[in-house]
Amino acid sequence: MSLWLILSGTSHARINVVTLPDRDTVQLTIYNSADLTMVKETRHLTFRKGLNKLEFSWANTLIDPTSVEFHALTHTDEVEVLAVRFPPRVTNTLEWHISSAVAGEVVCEIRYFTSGITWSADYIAEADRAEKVLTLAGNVRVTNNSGEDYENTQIRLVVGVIRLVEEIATLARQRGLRDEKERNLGMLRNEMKHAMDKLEVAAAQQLAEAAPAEIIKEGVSEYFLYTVGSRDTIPTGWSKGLPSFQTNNVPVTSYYKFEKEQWGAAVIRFYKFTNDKPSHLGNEPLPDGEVKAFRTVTSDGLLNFVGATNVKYIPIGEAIELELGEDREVAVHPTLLDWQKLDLRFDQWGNVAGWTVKEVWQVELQNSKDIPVVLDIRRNFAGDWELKSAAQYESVDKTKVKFVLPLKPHEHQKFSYELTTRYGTNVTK
Amino acid sequence: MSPLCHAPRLVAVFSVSLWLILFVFGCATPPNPAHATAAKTLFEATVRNFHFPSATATGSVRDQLLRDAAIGYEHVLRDYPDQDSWCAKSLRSLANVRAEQGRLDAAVQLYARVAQKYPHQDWEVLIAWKTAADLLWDAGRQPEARGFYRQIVTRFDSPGAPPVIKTIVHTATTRT
Repeated sequence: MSLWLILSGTSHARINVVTLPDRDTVQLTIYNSADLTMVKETRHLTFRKGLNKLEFSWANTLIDPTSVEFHALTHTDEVEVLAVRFPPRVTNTLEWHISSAVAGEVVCEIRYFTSGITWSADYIAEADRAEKVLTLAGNVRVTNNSGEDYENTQIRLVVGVIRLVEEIATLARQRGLRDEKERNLGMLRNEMKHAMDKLEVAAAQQLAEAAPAEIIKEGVSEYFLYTVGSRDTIPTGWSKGLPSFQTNNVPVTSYYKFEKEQWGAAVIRFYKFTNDKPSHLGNEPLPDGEVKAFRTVTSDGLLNFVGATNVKYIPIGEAIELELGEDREVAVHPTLLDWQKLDLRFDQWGNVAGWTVKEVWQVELQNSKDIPVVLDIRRNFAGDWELKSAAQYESVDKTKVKFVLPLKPHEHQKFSYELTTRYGTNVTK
Repeated sequence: MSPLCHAPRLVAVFSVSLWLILFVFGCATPPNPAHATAAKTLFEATVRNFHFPSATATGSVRDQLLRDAAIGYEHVLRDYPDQDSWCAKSLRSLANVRAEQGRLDAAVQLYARVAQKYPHQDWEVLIAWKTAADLLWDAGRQPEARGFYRQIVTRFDSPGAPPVIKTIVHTATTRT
């Protein structure tokens, strides 16, 4: 994209084309789901009194030329777009004819939509040795394939769902009729602009009132404008990681789960924390992305990789459970010690009509780590069952119980339970 | 008449049928995705290497650059006729070249052809009509220009139109 200010004389033969100064600010607001980015750039332009011509070219970029808008941010009542023309000497270029009542510098904003810019978020979670607190750092990776370079750019991400936008995008994809798709994309852009305007107003209010960030809720939509803290230059064809935040001392609960039906024989490690103020978070929802978790293992800060997982959008106040994969240093071995078929009952023809099965299970637990752990062991039962155990347990639902057991470092433990299951005419409930 | 006498007629019927089949299937061939990339590459290279430089060049260099730009756009139109979007851009850009060569009538014909050949390419149709109208207006051919302005108002005057289109329609309205 290029922008030119043309100082026109009395005839076309004497027009002077002047390269403009670089953009003063550039802001990208990226909405991933619809491959749509709103670009806002400001420049200090020197206008002459009377007619000024300003050229904007979108050649060899993915800029949507129908979305291009020009506004004067200063001298707003004295600067006006009179007409738009398309000069034949260049292609894919529009020329604004701007009337200015002032001679001198005017701050101008040019706004348009482009496609080809995407973002993804990722997080690094570093737990302390005892796995009681963690440092959470967020990064945003922006990939620019738009055909246009963006220098010293502020990045804003639309996090969450703008429901109507999603529906229109889906409709456009499903139909595939070009003109209909174009119409839908027009609606999409309008909705995006509407959403952006609301978010701009909310952001301005927050700035003025030093109020906490606001989430816009509209019907079933919930979205949030997430501003990346740092600025960077992102040339076309490049992908760049930008640090967005780092928070220390986030309280974390580390625990392990065993459930044969879900993970087989593996014991799965989890970290759990909450996106709220007491956890030194909760300023804004967190975008979905990959979390890589590490644990400090030596006093000089050496880190061990614990695991990685993908998390979905985390609203303010919500707890997030990170499933970090198998941990072989914690083991659970259930063993069937005894099995009996009892209380056989027969019908009038001598066939078995009811029976009861009694099983005795022993569960061995091993913590080979040098820190205490909490184990959550879940067992699933079907039918008319009854459980007896010296170990404490609680029902999760009609078919599932859980035993929550703390283990000291390097501790080996056992517990057992007796399961009685009634079948046929023996069923009592 | 012996069966052999029917041979030339049969050959003719077969030949016509073959051409019909080729024509029908040829028309029904969906756009080739590889063509989209090739057309885009050729169009963009023409803009970058010839059309843009011609805007700042002078004399014989400018003339040569415009001739080369025209050849590039004609190649897109000839080699990738299934690529409506790139062909519409190329046809309009070819019209731009003719206008810059001082061949206004040829340019206006090409601008008009954008809407005839690619009626679904709304933005290209709008730019083509607008450019034709402005060139004719500046050349003192207001009655012909009014025809294009009227078409712009009829097709693009909509309350939900983007600001850039509203500005174009507003100008067109004042000149009809």
